[in-house]
Amino acid sequence: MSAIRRARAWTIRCIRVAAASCSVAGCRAGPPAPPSSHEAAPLVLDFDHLQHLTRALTVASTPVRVVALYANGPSYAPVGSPQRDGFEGIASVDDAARAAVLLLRSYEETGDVRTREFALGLLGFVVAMEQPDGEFLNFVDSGGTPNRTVSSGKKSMSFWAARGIWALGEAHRVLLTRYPEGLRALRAPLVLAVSRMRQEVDAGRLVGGSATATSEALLGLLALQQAEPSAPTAALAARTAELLLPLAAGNASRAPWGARFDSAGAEWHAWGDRSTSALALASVVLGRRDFLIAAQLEADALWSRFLLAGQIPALLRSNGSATWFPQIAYGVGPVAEGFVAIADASGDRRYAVMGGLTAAWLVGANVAGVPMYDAASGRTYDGIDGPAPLRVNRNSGAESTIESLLALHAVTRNADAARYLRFRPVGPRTDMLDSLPPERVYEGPDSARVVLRAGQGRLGLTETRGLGGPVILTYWPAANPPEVKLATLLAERWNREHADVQVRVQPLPAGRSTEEVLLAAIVARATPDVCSNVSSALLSRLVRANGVVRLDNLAPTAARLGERTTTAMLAPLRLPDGGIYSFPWKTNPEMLLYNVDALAAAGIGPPRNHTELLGAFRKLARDTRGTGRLDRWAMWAPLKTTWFERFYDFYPLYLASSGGRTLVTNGKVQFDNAAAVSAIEVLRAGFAQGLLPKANFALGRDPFVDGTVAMKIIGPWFLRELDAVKPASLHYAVAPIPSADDAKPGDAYAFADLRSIAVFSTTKHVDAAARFVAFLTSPEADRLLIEEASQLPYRRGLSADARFTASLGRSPALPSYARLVERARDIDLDPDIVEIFDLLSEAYESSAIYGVTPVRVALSRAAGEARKLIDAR
Amino acid sequence: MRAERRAGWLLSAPYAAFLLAFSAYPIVFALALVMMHWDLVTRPSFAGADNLTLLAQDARFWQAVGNTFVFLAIHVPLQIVTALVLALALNRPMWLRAFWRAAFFLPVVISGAVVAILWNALYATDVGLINAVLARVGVGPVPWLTDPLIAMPAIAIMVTWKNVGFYVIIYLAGLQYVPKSCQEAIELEGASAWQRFRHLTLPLLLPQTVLVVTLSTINGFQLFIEPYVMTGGGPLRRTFSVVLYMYTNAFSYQKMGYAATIGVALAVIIGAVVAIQRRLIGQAEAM
Amino acid sequence: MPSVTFDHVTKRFNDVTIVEDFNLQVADGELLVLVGGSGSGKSTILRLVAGLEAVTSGTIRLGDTDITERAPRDRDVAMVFQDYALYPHLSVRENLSLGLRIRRVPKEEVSRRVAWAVDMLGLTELLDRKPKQLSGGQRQRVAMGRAMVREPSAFLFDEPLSNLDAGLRAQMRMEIGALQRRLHTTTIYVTHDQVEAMTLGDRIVVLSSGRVQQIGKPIDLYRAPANRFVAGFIGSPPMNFIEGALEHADEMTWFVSDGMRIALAGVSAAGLTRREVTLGIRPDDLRMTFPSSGTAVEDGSIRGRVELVERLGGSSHMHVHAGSLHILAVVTALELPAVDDVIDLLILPQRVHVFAPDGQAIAIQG
Repeated sequence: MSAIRRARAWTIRCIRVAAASCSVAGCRAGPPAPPSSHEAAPLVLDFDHLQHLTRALTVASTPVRVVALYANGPSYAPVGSPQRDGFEGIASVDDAARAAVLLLRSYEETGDVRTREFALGLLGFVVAMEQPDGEFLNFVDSGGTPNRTVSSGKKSMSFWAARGIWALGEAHRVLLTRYPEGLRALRAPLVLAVSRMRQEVDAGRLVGGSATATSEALLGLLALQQAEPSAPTAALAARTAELLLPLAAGNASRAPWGARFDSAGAEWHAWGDRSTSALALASVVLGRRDFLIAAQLEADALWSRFLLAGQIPALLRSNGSATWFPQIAYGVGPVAEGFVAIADASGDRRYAVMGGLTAAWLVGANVAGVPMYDAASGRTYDGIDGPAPLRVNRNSGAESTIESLLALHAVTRNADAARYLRFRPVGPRTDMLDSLPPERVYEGPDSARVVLRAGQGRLGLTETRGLGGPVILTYWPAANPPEVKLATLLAERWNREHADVQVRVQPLPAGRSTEEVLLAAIVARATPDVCSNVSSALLSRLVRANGVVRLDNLAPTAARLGERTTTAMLAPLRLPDGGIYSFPWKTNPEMLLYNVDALAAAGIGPPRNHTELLGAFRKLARDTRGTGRLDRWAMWAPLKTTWFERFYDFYPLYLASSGGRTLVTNGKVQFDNAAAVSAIEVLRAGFAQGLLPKANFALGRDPFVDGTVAMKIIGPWFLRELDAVKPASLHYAVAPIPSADDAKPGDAYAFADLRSIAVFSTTKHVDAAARFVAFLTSPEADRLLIEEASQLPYRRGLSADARFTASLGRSPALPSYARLVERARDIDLDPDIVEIFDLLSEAYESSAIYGVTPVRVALSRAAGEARKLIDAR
Repeated sequence: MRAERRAGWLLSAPYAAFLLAFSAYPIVFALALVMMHWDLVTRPSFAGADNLTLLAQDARFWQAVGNTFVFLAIHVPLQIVTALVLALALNRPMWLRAFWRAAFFLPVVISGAVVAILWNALYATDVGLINAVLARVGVGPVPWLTDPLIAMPAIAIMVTWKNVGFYVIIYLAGLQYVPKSCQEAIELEGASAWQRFRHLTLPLLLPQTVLVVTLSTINGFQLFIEPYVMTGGGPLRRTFSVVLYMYTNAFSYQKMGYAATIGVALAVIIGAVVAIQRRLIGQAEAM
Repeated sequence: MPSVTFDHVTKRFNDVTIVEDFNLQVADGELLVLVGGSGSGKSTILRLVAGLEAVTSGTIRLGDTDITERAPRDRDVAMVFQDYALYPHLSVRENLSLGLRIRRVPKEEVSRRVAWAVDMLGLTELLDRKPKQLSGGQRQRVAMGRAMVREPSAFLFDEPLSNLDAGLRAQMRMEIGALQRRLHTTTIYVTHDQVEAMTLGDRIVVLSSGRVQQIGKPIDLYRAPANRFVAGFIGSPPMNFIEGALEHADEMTWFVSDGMRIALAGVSAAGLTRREVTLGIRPDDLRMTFPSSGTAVEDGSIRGRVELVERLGGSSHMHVHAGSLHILAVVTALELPAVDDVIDLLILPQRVHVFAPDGQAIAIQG
């Protein structure tokens, strides 16, 4: 298929998906639009060639999928190994396993079922090649028969076994919460392989005698440990990692500068240099600082020399002499991944920068000046031969493709690394690793420059802008004190680390709400560069006015989106053109906060459905002062009809039963249904029986804090205030919002007011703003968000993510809220949503609070008016 | 002469510029907006008579107009009575009279939002001061702001309280012009204090009463801050004033064209009502 | 039965005494004039009757009833104010009828009375007009009409003619007098104008500084003023006063002053030696003669030089300068002296008034 037709097909598919917003998006990794002309456009990862290399096969009576070993230009038809390698076969476990790792990571982000099935097919092949003792065979022929004879594929616990463990471990990490049934066939094989591997490790032997294989097996163990923490797995992983430590030779000033050699007399090769990645990950998962230091050794001492040289050698000997060719993707990728892994583990973003600069080889920062990865087709060329004649090997085999995609995936999902793919080293490359220039400049788009300078065992990194002084960005946070404080802290941190971009936090001008202030700023053309706390209600208007910049086609924000969210989480924010125009930052899903002692005294637990809720109203409404009037209540339902008051009564109750339906989807009114009736009905009964207070509690004391009401529908932001002001006798807990009696468990969604960060189109520094936005949504910023403001980042897998456990643990109810982050609905992105909420509020008021209209009548009347409103557009 | 005229132009130029910029231009702009759709961030688009047709059929608008009339029906008579009573009281010699006069005038100059918040607290059903006092005399808590039938009268009372000082001044000025000899004459003729008031003082205060009626009517039509702060337009939209509806359309729904239409319609209604009032009073005066 | 009785009525305000020990009985149907300068207390006394001021001590009775403590509305008196006090917002008809309507007089009675007053005062064409559409005289009449319809026990007039021009004043004076005689209602009339007092009053009370100077019929006050104040107040042109002394000689009592000797009959001369007195003689009681040249002035005459002659037609006012004296004489002779002529003025002996240094008149017989 031609590129243009493919692009069109993708675009159409994505639009259709946007129209069916709740379902899992059908887009593959990355938006399918044609490459943006903007220089900071993110790199598109295309799996087409990988797909092209794949075929179905039956191995050991199991239908599986395999990846062809090679594809030669110009036809790129998939082929098996040529005669020169002794005819290994047509496909290998090596490739299938690594491809599975890649696909699993993609599925983690997109949730695409086909990607998952693809991965499971490959994993099926890996499992089919496992032998009863936990060792693996590697190659099969076109009939599905394994090749037991060739040495590069014989039964062993070696490279291909290690990769098998890696793939199986990664499968556990990704699928355990998302698709546990997929693991049924994978669990026993992994256990078997691991126990076989243990024999090697316990004997002090490197897996397959190779640091590479050991590292890859270690990666599998670490993935398993993240999925199912257990002491034996952790111990084994630690011992495996410890095997890698003594392999390093030399140090920062002495050749071979910390390179790891499999054995004395062996050579270091760039390809498969995964020990650094594995040690870095091990330091995080196992909590061992010495692993990180060991990882940093190779990066700081050896790899920094490559960056100063401007190229990575193919081989290194222990005396420090290097062979520079052939340069292959498999030699570049692991170095880039290693840098990124150290960045994640240490929090030092300089490593991420270096990872991006390294991976730039794949997109053209190489001695031939040729992009090795072709974004249109998804092919990666096998390598560059040289030094003379310099020749690009335009074949594209499985290994090149997979390793390149693995590296690019890691880099494009790291907001600090992604933009550096566009940078190129300035000046001729050096081929003597012991006489390097003291510094090397890498130049990027918009005259941005990174200067790398040799220092005390560590590479100094300075970023400048070629065109003069630093860029100044103005940033408007929300107007409330915790968020202003958060913004100030983050801006200070950013300013310390970025001399080329400085951020000024400006507290919002006084006004009732962020929306009003922003509207006024837009009219006055006095908008900031970046503003957080943008709500969905405002967003569609801003987009129609071309007021905000599209963010999913800018490298830093695209990377962060990939790292932080899934495609499903982004679906409600995607506008009809498929773009994401504001970065989903934080969310506040609502739960039922209740006073433990009050409910216990009334003899009830937190209500789970409407009948229990009404019962709770009854049991918790009391007259404690003997005045003949109730003065303690179950809940305070707001009486005002301003549209956002419904966020605390009707809307959460409705979403708890509506099966994901909101109010308006794509211009169609959705709320005229039984869930809405039920939600209003329970409140109506409460009011009618005098169990809900008809008062406004206007005096600034919170009725939950002083014990007047026993329950409150509220989001996590309230916990900060609650913990600060509550009396010591108040014990609270949270429970899900009650659903309708007849609602099914899968119907319940929480209401979460999602707030986004927007970059206004009046900004003169789109790239800098995008980088700042990516920083505001980084894991460290997200931790601060939780700790300072007790609000939740809109991040996938938040409740299971070890990086946030400590922050979430600061307040006892936060982990419960965190579990709802991906199970929430926001208000709809409709231009008239405010007015529709007002219509609903009126219907609610007249039927529930004052009981003058029957619930169904009021609701259908409101629905009719809403339809008229939409039709009049 | 020319120098004088030039000086005249120069001296009036600053205020003329101010008027032009802040009165004339917005009025013209509002009139133009009546025929536009504009959401404040995108370009305005031509709407023809859409806004006007919408207004004619908009039940909420007419309900807001009706609410305002309910408000006026309570507020204007109450305002006249309270201002008059207070003016009569403050016209007699009394201890610290200047202090009392200033004290009654003070609410006029306090910000409307502040007064609204204060009365919100006073009117609160369970914890408000008014209901606390009423409870002492055995009257059950009155849902001042949460009952659809009581809310607008409650707001009318509050607005009356706030503005009474201003109208007291108007009446006080008028009282100075009731001739003392006429008062003595009517007293000799046998009038009790009430009869003196009814036959002499009150008729002589007719011009002031006309002024009070006109001003409080115009003011009443512009009711906004009280429903905005205290009731949000409820309960059941009974306190939704026209200006609040205009504000909602403008800044919540971002329908500036329609909001301008409401504003223009309001101006027309006020003009008509005041004209009718003057007519009726003019006839009364002539009789 | 006297209609209005004042009994030791005193009015003080702070430390100032406005009316001091006022005693009077007004007869039924009488038109009593209270006359005096400003600050004499006359208006205050009226207002005390009306109840618009409260007495400090003493009682006022209307008929038998003690009205001292009663509110104005309960006193059954009607007042005509200096500025008429018509109700500006009501028509003439309504002005007339308001008081009756307030007192809930039946409608037919109201119409009857109003019609009667209108007829009597000639207000028929003015009934629908508002006060600002009336002339001064018309307003005055309406004010009177308003008082009349009340049919009160007493009318009180507070300088009603002060705001009118001279011609109108004279006419209204006649009308008021005629009206009062017809109605026979007791009237207390306050004025500063002695002409009004003399023409209207059945009796006059002359007041000065809150004290009664003299009460009596107009002619009595004219002929026999009790003190110098009354003598100088009543009568126009006012009485001439000459300072001098009483002497006893030739078994007669003489008044001696610069260049003149007047025999006073009837004054007891016993024990007199140069007692200082003031002689009073009205301008009408002087006769002019042209003296022959060379003759001395006779007793009982004053010789002087003519300063000014004001011809008024029938009579003339002659201003004569005699020594340090300035005498005014009313002369009806056809032949009048010229300025600077010397003439003799003969004092009619029976018309002479003598006042002691304290102002009191000294009785003379003859």
